[in-house]
Amino acid sequence: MLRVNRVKEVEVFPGSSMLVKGEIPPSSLLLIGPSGVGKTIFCKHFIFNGFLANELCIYVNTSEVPEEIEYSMNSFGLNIKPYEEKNMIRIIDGCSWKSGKESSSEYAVDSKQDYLTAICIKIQKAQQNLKIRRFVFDSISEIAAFCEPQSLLNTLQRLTTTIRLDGGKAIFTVAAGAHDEHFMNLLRLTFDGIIEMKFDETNYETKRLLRIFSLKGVMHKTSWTPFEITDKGITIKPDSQLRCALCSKQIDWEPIYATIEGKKIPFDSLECVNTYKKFKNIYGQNFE
Amino acid sequence: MGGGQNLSAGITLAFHSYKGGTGKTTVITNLAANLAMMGKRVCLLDFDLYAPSLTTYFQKNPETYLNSFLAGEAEISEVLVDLSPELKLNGKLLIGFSSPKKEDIHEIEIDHDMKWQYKALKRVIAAKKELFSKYKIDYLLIDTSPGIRYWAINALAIADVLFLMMKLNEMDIAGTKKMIDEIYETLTKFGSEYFVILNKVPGALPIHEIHNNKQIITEIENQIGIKIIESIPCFCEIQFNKHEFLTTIKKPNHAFSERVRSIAEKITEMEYNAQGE
Repeated sequence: MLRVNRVKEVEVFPGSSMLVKGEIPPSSLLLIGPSGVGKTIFCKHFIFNGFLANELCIYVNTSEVPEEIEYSMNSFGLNIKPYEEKNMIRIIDGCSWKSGKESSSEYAVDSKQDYLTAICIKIQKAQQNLKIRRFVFDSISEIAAFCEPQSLLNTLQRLTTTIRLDGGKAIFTVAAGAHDEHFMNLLRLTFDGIIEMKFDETNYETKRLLRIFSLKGVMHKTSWTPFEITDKGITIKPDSQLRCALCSKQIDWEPIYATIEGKKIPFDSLECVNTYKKFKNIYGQNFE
Repeated sequence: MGGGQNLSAGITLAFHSYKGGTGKTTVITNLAANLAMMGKRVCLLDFDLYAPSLTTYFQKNPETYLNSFLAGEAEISEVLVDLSPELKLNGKLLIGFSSPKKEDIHEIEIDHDMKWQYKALKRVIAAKKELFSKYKIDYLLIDTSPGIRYWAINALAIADVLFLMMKLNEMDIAGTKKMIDEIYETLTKFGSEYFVILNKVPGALPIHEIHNNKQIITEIENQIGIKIIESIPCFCEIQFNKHEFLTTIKKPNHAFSERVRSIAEKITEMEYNAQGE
């Protein structure tokens, strides 16, 4: 007898099932946040979730060498070794050249070329013979220090368009406050969606928050949502503990309130409202 | 045929009758298989908790029954058995069996208070959502107990569309009419739709002629005040077969299979109507 295995839902990125309603279309997202807020670990989750969905990834990292990436992902319970062995990830090492040390990645940036060109060449090489579904570029701010803003914007526009048309999903990170307003405005225009992260330091407590500022083609929450970084990586904390009066499911989206026997009762869906009314009609006051 | 308020990703269909022996289980199992043959993802739950028969019908002894799920001792994923590979179906056929053991039936019937029953009911409603969202099923088919019993009514209340199976005899017609007035009409106020299927209609020889007998159908429709969507003749080789098993798969050209296919087609049209609304 064959048994059905429980289907594990894989989020596109941490919190996507809670923050986005429906399927995220092929798109490039700009992740903006201050240094240390959790942009890099967010990207690592995005990559790992891609592995779980059997999606191949290109990872451009400008501040960590491959060994550091593997170590940090492992420390958050994201063991990438098996996926590296299956050639599901191609790490473009944009860091090793700065120290002059040799990289373990065959896609390491060559120090003899200018930084942006070198990265583009390695991206092209990594894309060969590979149907890339996920792409991470971490971070734009590091590259910006080495090239003209306009040529960087042109390159990013080409990259994001190619990824979207190829049916892929991408995240590019940029440090908040590291660039002038003009550059940031143009950068925002380049992407299909924008995720923002920030620290909230009210009440002598530092909290991390994220929000989806915009995302083309799909309904999404725009409110700030708290998240934590623990030894399991990023955990999105739901901002609502409200549960449906019928199915007890946590209400992630706007609750539907129905007034029944003078009481205002929260529901997860119109279907639950109607089913609740059916039971109330049949069982009367006893049904709670 | 309208789809009603199709608020889930798929449609929940409950099969019910006033009296036992109307052929509910034979029709629902064949219908589930037929929909799965058509490439649909189907889940069939045996909510005839007081007289379960799907274990015998499918000759299965699953490790976990719906009874454990209702008691909160198992998840719905542990209950479901996938029969699609062994039946070589294009789609999916997941089945949740209920326990035929005497003590389990007794437990459901007598041992628990209303608080337990409501808790179990909420688990079923949550599981229904899981079946549509995680298992991506198109149709949830629920076999119910006949008559007005607690879990039969619950199954009717969580369904979008109710099929009332009826035989052509006075007692069944009168009882069905009573149930329509007392239960079904209440449920339609909140979005349910219901239809009658006549089964075991006598005088089926030659089998194809029965369906020209529109006069009988019209008379009964007037009597009970509801549309009959299908009339299935009485086939001795099915009714008196020691073990009728998925005639719709084994004998697709049999007139019974044709009738089942006709219901399946109406159900799939229902989906398209609902989407077009």
